Amino acid sequence: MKLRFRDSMNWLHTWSCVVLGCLLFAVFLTGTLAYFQYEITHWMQPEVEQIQHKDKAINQAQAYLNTHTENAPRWTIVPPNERFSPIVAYWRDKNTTGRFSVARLDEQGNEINSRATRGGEFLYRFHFDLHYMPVFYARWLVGIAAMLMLVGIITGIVVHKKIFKDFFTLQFNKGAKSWLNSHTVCSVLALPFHIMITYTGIVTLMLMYFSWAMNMGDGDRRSFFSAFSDQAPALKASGEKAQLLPLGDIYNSAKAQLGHAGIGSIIVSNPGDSNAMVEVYENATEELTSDYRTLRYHGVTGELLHDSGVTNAAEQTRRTMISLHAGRFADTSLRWLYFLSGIMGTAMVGTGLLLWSNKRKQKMNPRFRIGYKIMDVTNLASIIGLPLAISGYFAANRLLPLQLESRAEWEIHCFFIVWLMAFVYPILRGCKHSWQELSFITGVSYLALPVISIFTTSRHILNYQFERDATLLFMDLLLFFTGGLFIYIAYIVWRKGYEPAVIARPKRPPRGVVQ
Amino acid sequence: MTIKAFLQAISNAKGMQILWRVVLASVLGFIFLSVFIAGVASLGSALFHLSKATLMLWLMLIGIVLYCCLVMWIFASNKLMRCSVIIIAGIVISSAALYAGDMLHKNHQPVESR
Repeated sequence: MKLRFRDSMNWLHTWSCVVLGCLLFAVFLTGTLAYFQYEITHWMQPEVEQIQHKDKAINQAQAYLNTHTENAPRWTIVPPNERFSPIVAYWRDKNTTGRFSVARLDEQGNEINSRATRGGEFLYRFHFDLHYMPVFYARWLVGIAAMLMLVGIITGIVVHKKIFKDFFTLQFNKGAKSWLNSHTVCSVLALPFHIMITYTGIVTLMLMYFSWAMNMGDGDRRSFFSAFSDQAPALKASGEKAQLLPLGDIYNSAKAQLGHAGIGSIIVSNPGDSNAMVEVYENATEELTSDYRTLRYHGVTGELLHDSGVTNAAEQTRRTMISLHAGRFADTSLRWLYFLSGIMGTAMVGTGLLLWSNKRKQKMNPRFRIGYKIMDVTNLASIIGLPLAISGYFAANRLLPLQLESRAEWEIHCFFIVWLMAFVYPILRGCKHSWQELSFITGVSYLALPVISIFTTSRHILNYQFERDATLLFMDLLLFFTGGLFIYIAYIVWRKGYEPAVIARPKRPPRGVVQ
Repeated sequence: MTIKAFLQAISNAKGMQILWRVVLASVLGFIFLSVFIAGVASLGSALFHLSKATLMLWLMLIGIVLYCCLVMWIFASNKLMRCSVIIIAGIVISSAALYAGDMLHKNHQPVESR
């Protein structure tokens, strides 16, 4: 294979992106939506009001945990944030094994049972944990896809060497050239973002991917992690009962210590014991860089026992990379920039898949008819099917009975059922009609969502109060916009017509002719 | 058919070449990177009295970019045999560095903690 450097990079660019292209598209799209995961959760639980007084809500959560946990050695409380989040409490009772118990609580400390949903968190988790498979394998699969993406981006710069020149001389309505131009636009406009998000995405799970190197180099991983944390030994339970201080007071004290930095979680060890300990963890929600301080309080006296932060430059860099990827520090305008860049990345993968598929069709080999059809169906099911599945997830949130058992899980099942239908539809109907019809169905489903909300929720587009329900209103407007966009795509496909690949059947020689 | 001719025949087959490049990049390349990180961190920390965990974390952060370059080199190289030898030699040398680093660390430890 004596190829020029650029030819081999072209081969690598094509195959590195195509092999897991559909997975990359799904990861990019759901990851992009995850920038608004709290807003999506708010829209999916319109009955839940935003918490106004955090310290009081934390005290109510403490009261809930006191009555609902049996000898749990540890509670974890995730305080609410400014965007939308009820208090989330995790605990595991002493005598039970397995998964943690979880409760989502409102300001009065009552469990939220009104519309059980995973909300935007499902989209966030899906973009690296996938679903219906062990998390370990899912993260490796996503990591391999991300590495291929990084290779694809770097080789893409080599391959499309005139990428910047092409960007300023764009031509549309030129058939296959237009797909290349669309690919160029999506790549160039947000190229630094694509490189950053892919690299930092790998960094977020880097310690898992290099766990073998850690074990080889440091003997065991505990010694590796202990090198980065400056933690004093934890208090041991004494066995004597004592009243835990109101956690709201400790929260306020920690806020005063941390200044304007955000608080990620509060962990209470040995609650009800005279040696109860409360740890408050700083989170990078206000600025890109953070000291990631951990404040350790005595749970009974309220004394600040230890104040530690991350001082190691390498660990600070790793955490900053993760912060850059997650974008939790971003204000609304920067979050929109993240979102738009993410959409560009999704479109880059989508147009790249279509470009590859169109190129292959031009020089297709009749022996691989089924291969081309599978390629068409998977492209269609990814590019149109996934947005349709997301609208199915939102629709299930509005239409499933509120008292349905495992309702939150059923919403997710609906997401995958709709996605599966988007795979089956082009197989039964043919790709010729499916692009147009599925685009139209997707558009209509998005347009219908705010209308369905009118009949199924108490807070909807006809009775929103502007200041209070601004997030819900923007979500509805965005759903209308998305619906309109897909109907426009359907119109474009209808006007231009779908050009099916003409696959010539191999000619059979006449009978009796010996070749 | 001699062994050399057999290897020559395999290296001339395009499908086999691609398959070998994929194996080289995904399996051997990743093993090389892991051993390289562990080896350089171990030896570097012993020789220059640096924190092994810190050095390893820096190498991991850089390693992602290195791996990307390694994959590109494997697919760009016209001399596949030489490329394979370099990577396998890299694994061996990194393993030796890891072993040497471990020995130096053990020698630096006080006797009672060994």
